[in-house]
Amino acid sequence: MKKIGRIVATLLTITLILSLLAACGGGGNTPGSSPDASPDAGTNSGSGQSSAPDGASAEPTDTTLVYGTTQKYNYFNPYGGATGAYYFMSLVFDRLWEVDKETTEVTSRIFSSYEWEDDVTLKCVLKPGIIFNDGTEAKGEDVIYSLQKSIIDGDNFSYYTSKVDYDKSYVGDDGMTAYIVFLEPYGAAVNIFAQVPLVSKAFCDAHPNNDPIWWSDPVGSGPYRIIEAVTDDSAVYARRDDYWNSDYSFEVSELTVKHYSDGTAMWVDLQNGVIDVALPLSATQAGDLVSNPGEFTLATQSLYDVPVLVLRETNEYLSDIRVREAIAYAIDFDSVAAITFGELSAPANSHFTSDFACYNNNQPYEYNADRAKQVLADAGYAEGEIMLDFIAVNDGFQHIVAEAVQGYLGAIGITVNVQTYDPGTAIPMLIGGEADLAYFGVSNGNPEMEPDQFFSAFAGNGSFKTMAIQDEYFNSLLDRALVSVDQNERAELYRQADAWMYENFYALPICEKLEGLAYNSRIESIDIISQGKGCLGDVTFAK
Amino acid sequence: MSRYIIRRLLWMIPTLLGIMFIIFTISYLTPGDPAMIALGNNYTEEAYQAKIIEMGLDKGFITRYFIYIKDVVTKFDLGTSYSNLRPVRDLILEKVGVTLRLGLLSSLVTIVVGVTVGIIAAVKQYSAMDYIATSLSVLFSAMPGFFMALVCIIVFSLKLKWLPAAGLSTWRHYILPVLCLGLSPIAVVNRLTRSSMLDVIRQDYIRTARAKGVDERTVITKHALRNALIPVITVIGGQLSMVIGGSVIIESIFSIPGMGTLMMTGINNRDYPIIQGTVLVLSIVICVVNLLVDLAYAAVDPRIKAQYYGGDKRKRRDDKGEGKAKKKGAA
Repeated sequence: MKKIGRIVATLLTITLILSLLAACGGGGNTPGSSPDASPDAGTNSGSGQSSAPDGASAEPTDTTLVYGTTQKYNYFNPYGGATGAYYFMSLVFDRLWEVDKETTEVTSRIFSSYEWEDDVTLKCVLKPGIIFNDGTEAKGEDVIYSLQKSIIDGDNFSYYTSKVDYDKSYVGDDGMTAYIVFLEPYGAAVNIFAQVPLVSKAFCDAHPNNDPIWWSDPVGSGPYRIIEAVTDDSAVYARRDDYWNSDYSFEVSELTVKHYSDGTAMWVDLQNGVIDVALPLSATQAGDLVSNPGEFTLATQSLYDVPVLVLRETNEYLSDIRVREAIAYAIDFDSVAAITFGELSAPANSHFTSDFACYNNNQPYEYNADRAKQVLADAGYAEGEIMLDFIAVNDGFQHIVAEAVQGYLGAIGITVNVQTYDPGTAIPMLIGGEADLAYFGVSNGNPEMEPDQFFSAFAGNGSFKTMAIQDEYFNSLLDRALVSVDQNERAELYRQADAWMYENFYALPICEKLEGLAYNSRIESIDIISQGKGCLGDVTFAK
Repeated sequence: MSRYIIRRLLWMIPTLLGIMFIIFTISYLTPGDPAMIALGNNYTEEAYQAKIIEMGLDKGFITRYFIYIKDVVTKFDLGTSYSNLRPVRDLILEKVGVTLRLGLLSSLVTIVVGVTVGIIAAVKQYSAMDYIATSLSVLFSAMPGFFMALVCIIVFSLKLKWLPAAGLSTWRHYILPVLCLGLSPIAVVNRLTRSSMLDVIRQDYIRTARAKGVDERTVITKHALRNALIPVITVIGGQLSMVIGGSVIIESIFSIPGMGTLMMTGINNRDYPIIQGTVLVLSIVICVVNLLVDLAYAAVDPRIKAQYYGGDKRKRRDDKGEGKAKKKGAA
């Protein structure tokens, strides 16, 4: 009997082990992994390999693509919560407006026309035939609802969309013209609302935010549709052959996005051919590619972001323009950018990149430690007298910037105490004005960033006390720009504000941030933040 | 035995309530405001006040705690994630299976490999096998798990291209994470099994068994191993808990969407519902693991089994005896 018991126990154990292994899933075609995705040395096997004969120029037979990314994007509702990266949303949702970074003009692919009827009324005429992926047609009410939803959901963007008077906003008799009425003149509206995705009111009404469909198959009017999604793992997007906008075509028929919580694993999978494109790259990985490109190509694109070194105006020393001037001369910002971002940075001499209408081609701050010391001495400050706190977020690079600044300022007799915290601790400290120095960047890859989103952080009535500037002239420029509906006037006012900040050594530009991505030889070119298209499907395969 | 199990399960309730109170208090006292984090650069005083009310953070500590307990006990509602807007219960249900699979596989590997190598090292003491096993145990005990993981990725994924570096799509994806999770506990179990076996095989009854002509395999497996396993089971229980709780780093490095990454996300975002929910679920798992370890004692040590059974039977015998005595007395 005991023997039988032992045999039974052994059989049960073996069964359990086999069940566990079976439950692991063997060889299934889960997103981002084909059954034969074994990494082969030296080959360039993405998920599905196109192989045109040597010497022949043929259309690629395989038009699927696999992206690897370390960015979170586990929730496909563009409102509320962690919505993830901008360009993933652009696959599924069209946006109300887009900014052409070459001409800096605001355009729209969904409106046939838009104009300010008066200071507070924006009339937008929707193109006919904009079809959501559930087959319904977009109407004017969807445009107004797309703005209102962020308020309904308490989304972070509601700060801007709350400037609309939804009681007075209405749809014209044709059903396609939306009259967006504002509570007060708000000239920044078109630029700001460019980030707003077009959503279906009927779909949103039928599916509250906690409906699982928002994690698997949301309805949008964009060129792709999600066909498979595994939370925090991957999502598969299929190109819509019924995409309403015939002006744009995309070569990628099926696009898989694999999420990685660690850049190392993503890098290895790129090397092994599990993914075709990896983004974003770290500075180290970008540097490695420059040194040893191999079969991969490094592409960099502007993030439209100029992170700045913030100097708190209310600090007794930093309120003195001579101290701020000395700090500007004491730091070699190009070197700080090089050690922090490596190949993924470019020099900056304005608070905006040249893609923005309010860009100023300022004279760069000269790195001159001797001059900085002299300015401080002339101002009557003894060496070691000034002590400042730099509060940095532990996001992988802020502490590098902080320590570099600490070193440079230490050389001219200013003591900097660097404190690094997680975002949960650091952000309240920045809001409360506990930092004398801080790192600040706002765009993070959004080409439609409205200058007001940057300047509002520095406005006198801004919420971040660390950054608030109380100067009347500066604030008057911002107030006037906010209400003006003349885009040229707005651009000029913001240019003046930028120049004023630069001349008074507030918010010292560190560098222009670039985004790096690497792709294999299946791809000829890629432009994920392209104008007019702006989505991951804008890829040209190698012929 | 069943009474013992039920008693242990009932004891889990105050244990878990205590854990929930502690983690709730720690979350409450930890610096960082989830409403501010949620708003980020869009912070304004008005939006902040609205966010606080939306998140339920406007209520006092005691009120919030009792609301939380009531929801958990009556509906197993762990709240809604601040950053994700999804029910925490759904998030955990999606990911707990991944973590448990990893943990169980690692534990299985730990037990099988650790005990087996320990037995061999003990039986063949001072042999080459013994020295190799001991040296490797010291090495793997000293090596941090995250370092092991990165080395494995570089060697097996990047250089040799034998195994994938991320995800859990196929059985091959499990090899490296399971190895990295299990190597350190294997080292501990191996060394303990070896020393425990060495103690046992020097006992008189083992010598007696050999003198009586029992074959060596039977001596080791039937007589020595069961006695040697008792301290090993204790350690295995602790190691299992560490494996399940310590998968955070391994999951992050191998991009495995399990409880570990969920917990890290919750901590970084001050997402209290996620923090509380994941800790609660992990606590339940560890309590169950401890119970299974105690039951394993009974399976291995007849004295302990007698205690579990004997206690119940003796009590029932005594109760019956008293009952009969009372009846006799009444009669």
